[in-house]
Amino acid sequence: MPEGSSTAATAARRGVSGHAAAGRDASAAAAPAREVLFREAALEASAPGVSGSEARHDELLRVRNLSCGYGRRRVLEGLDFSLWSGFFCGLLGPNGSGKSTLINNLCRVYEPLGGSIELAGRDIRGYDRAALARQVAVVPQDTHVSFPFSVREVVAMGRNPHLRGLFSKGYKEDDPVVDRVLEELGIAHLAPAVITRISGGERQLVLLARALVQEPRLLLLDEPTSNLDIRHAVRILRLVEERVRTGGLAVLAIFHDLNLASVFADYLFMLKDGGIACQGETREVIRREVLREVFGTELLVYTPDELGWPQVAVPPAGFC
Amino acid sequence: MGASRTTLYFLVLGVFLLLMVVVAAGMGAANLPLGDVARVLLEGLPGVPTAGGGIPASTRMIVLDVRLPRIAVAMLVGAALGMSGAVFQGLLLNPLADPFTIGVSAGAAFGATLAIMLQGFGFLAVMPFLGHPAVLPVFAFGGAVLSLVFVYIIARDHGNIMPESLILAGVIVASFLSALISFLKSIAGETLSAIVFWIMGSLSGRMWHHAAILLPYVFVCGLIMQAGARHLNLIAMGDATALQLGVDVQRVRRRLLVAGSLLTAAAVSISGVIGFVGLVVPHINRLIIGPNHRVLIPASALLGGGILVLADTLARTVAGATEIPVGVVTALLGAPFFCYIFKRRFHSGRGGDGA
Repeated sequence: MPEGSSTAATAARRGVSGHAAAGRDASAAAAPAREVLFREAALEASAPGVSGSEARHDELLRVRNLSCGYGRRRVLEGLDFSLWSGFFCGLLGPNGSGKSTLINNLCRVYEPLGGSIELAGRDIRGYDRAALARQVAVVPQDTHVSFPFSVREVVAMGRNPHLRGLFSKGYKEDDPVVDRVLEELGIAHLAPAVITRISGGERQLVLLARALVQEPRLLLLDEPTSNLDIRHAVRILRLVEERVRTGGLAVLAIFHDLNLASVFADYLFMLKDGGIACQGETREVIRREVLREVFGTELLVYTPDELGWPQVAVPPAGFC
Repeated sequence: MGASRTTLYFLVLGVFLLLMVVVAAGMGAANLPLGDVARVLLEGLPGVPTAGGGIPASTRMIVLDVRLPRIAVAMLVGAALGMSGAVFQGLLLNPLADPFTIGVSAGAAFGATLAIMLQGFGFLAVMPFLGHPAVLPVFAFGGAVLSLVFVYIIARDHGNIMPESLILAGVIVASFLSALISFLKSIAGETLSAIVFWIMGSLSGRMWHHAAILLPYVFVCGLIMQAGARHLNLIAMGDATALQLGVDVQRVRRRLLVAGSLLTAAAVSISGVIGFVGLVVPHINRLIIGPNHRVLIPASALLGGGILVLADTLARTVAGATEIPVGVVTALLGAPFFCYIFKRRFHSGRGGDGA
């Protein structure tokens, strides 16, 4: 089953990419491409012969007229977008454009100033915290930890939303989900190590493991690779991508590296000046004009034949 | 942390506590043979034959009526401070926090100072009820609770309480109360020594009824803390993490703050301000069994109880007939020990993994 749906998802992505590329001249805005992408996805999901359990490309999160901020300061205003199961979405934008704020509002660390966020058709304020944490997990930027918990203890904390009872053991030492995820991420050997004493790359893997043992349907990644070398960054993103393709996970990840975003994301949102400046299928967004508009800098965009999707290069001064 | 290692550690703590009780009951102005003391202590247990002859009646009297109540109070106060210390360090995300960080001790000290001065300044004639022995602890408890209310009000921001603002509010309230205490001391006259002695903490003359007052606090607040221990682990990772993992952070924090504060207030009102137990005890435990609050809180109760019994025994024996305030003993022992822990922690490159 995972094999089949993986192929399907990849096919959808490639096919739609071609379509979108053809229609590029017709529309500068990315919206039509997005419609096509999701229409095809929806058709695929509801196609005869595809059982209900494999209908993965459902709209999972729907954001309407969302405004976020802190106290009176509005950081984001009037956002409308959706996230879909089985799609890897990227979030890009200059520093201070509100990317982390958006992530923190989607998981209810902060309450929105206005608008609505619906998860699986229900406003997220209608979920109790544990129920929400069974649906939505976050991989934060590497954060400071004050106390020397072991790696296994930290990962097992991800099981918290699945536990009941005040005195129940916080996490079973032998929870099979914890063991399985540690194994799958290749960090089982780190289990007894102390979280404050491992490298940044290892710690980020541990935080990913903690999010995955929550068994969420939506995974939010807040700059998960910004402090990592390229090997660790690629490793983490491949692990996430695999779960999108084979497990129907919905992902929204903040990227700083445009090339990584292009390789891993199916769909991109560009934040600027408190709103979504541009959203669409990756090829539609990674374009010279869009990047100039959003980041205010001149970049080269080219599409290597062997890759099939765009990459970004920084031109030397005076090149353009 | 392996389960067997944790179990073993709890056994060691239990033995340590029992040993301290027997030694404390034997030592003092009259040194009693430990065998006799143990037999007297065991007598009360069902199924143990009465020791009967061979043990002087005075031994039985000293152990059961004089030393044992004081030991019980020391145990309960130590357990209260140890548990509260573990909880406050987790809640405030700060290993340097202790039960007094948010101003409980200053509030209690202010209440006690006020009581002592009212008693000393001839208000007794007008209000004879001030002479009752319960007045001082009641004032101390009231002062502690009142200062906590102020701290909470100052720290609250849109109904939420954040760790940093709690610590800052604690500092504000504590320094204000300290100034008030200094003012009261400056006009205290002959009651000054009573005030100073109370603030330094002492278990001298504590009776069974003191233990009886403290016991329900230790039991109820301890249960509340233990029930919140799993969520406290997540809160100790930071608010955002705890929220993302499904913890109602503000509700759990409020509940644990109230339990920790009331427990500390009750302990301080009985014993005065006894420092370093609430700071050092959770650290020792964290070094050995790790930071998981589900085992850290009960371990801190046992170790805190044992250490305060030991400190109190030293307080009443090392200087002969003169008694040293037990708060002085805990500070004298605690500060160098704390220094050793930090040296070890930072120079060996190992935190509390205990491996």
